[in-house]
Amino acid sequence: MERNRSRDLKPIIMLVLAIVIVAGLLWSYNQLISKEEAVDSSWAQLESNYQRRHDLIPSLVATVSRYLEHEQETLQGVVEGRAQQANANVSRILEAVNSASTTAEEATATSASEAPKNEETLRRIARAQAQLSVQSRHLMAVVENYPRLHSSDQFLTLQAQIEGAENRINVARMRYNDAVEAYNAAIRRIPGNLWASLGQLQRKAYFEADEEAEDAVTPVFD
Amino acid sequence: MPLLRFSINALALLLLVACSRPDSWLEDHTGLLSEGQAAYLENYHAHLLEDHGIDYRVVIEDGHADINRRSVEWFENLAVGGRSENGKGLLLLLDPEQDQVRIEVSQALEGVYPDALISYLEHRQMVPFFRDGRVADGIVATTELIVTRAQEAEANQAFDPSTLPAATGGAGATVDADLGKGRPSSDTTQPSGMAAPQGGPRQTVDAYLHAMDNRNDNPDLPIYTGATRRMLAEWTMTPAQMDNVVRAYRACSEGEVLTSTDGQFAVLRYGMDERQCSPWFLQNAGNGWKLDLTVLQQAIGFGRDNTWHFRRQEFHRYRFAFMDWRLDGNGYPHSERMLRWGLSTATSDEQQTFVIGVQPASAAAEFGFQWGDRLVSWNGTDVEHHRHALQLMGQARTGEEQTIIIERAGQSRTLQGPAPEKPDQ
Repeated sequence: MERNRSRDLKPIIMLVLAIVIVAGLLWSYNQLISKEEAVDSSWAQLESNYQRRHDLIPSLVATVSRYLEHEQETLQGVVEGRAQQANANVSRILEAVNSASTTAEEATATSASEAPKNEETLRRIARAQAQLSVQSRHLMAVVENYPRLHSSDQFLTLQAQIEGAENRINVARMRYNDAVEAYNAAIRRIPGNLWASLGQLQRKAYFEADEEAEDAVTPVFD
Repeated sequence: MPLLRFSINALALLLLVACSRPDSWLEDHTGLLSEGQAAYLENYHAHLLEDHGIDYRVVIEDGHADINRRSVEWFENLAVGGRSENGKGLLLLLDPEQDQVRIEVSQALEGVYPDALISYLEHRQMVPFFRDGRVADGIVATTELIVTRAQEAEANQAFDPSTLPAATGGAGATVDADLGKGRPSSDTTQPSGMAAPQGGPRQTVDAYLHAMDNRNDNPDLPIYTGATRRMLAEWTMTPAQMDNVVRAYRACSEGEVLTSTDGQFAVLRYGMDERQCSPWFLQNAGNGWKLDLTVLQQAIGFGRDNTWHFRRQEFHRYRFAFMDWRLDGNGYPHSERMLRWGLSTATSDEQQTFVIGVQPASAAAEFGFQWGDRLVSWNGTDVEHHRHALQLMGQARTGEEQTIIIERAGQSRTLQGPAPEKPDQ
């Protein structure tokens, strides 16, 4: 009697177990997919913040150049070479900012969708963007020598926008790294690693710490 | 080790959440603000949520890490914006040790408070107060402009109606706080020559607005009365305040100038429906009209919605210009009402009754009453106090000849004329 009942129950238990396991695997797959989507959307956010900064660079360069031209006119014949020398230096920095921005924009745009999958691509973008950060910070520091420009409302507005874009980039990078960390940890764990081993899901690339990225950058000296 | 670090972090967070009161708006970990100032801020920020749905927190702490990063952490830990129905959150993080201040803006508010505006408010409004060591005032004065912006945005429906998460994407601005650094050297002090007292009250107000437009914060402009200059010398006048005055009055109508019967005082006032436009008070200085900003400071208050009201219904020399306005118990003016007599009186401590206001173009003005006249008798009855005067005025029948004896500058005078028409009962 007893044995009979347990024999009857066995297939049912097996079926329930199988259902539970399949459901668990599907659930974990869905979890992985939503983690991957989180990585992609945080990358998209970062990209749009990079773009935000690129869009601001031309007006920053234009504002500073316009000021220098104006100053050049008022200086003409009054003060000798020193001030002109300084202005020439700022002009060089402006060019450096401009070209860093163009390079970074191109590097980001051409391989943007690749980046989270490919560490080398991500590093290249990070380096190009870090170069731009360093150059624009360098420009901001030099502008402090021009108190009239530095304290003007127009420049303060631009400065706030550029700094705002940089801060957004930092926040988005932090969130991107968090999303990648969660995703990478999930595909290493059971049962995520089972799905990963099927070849669909790959490890995503991280951003290195700021210092490493910026060490590779050489600012233009004045 | 990572586990240990995690539990320490978790413990710190738990402690933090346990320490902060659920309805608190301010976390001052440095004791920079007095208890009174803290209570004032708490109250102000509670109203900001009530009136404009903005959840605005203030954190004051010394720290070593990057202020921008800490600001994002605080924003998340305190769930700033969570008290607002649609994710409108602001966080002010002041770090006295690093001498930096940051305002962080939630995604739902980014359109209304872009980084450049936040930076402007910090540089041009908050920091000038901080330089004078007035931290709480700087925070509140900045909040006032945040409210002004919120009102504009509400009027233009600029607030994003879609409900965004109460989270920050790193929007906002960080500036040097310059706490207690004092005002910048006076080489920027502007000349006073342009702002001379003008031939008419309106022209003097225009000269003042022109000076504000040039951000002329010189407290010694010749258009100011002596008392005004003394008051302004103690004041923190910020570029943002000056910009705001100019912007606010640009939206006002021409207004009307009312001059006291003795020609010594004038008011430029705006319509009852323009309550964002507070009146100007002027004195005749002989060589032209000067602006008296002390009255604005003492007798005019501003509500949370930036509309003005009389702070006290006190005996002041400019009452004449508001005789046709009815003030309620809180000093808020209400719909205009032409008074029968247009005469306002008050009783002094010596039980003498004085004229404290004459409504322009009223019966009292026609009789020739002036501010400061002492009422001696009315139709032969001695005036005992101002309520008695009111009674005597009420008794006068339409068209009946009235004889009033007053004392002006020590001399007795008689005023005569027919009583004005009685309003319909």
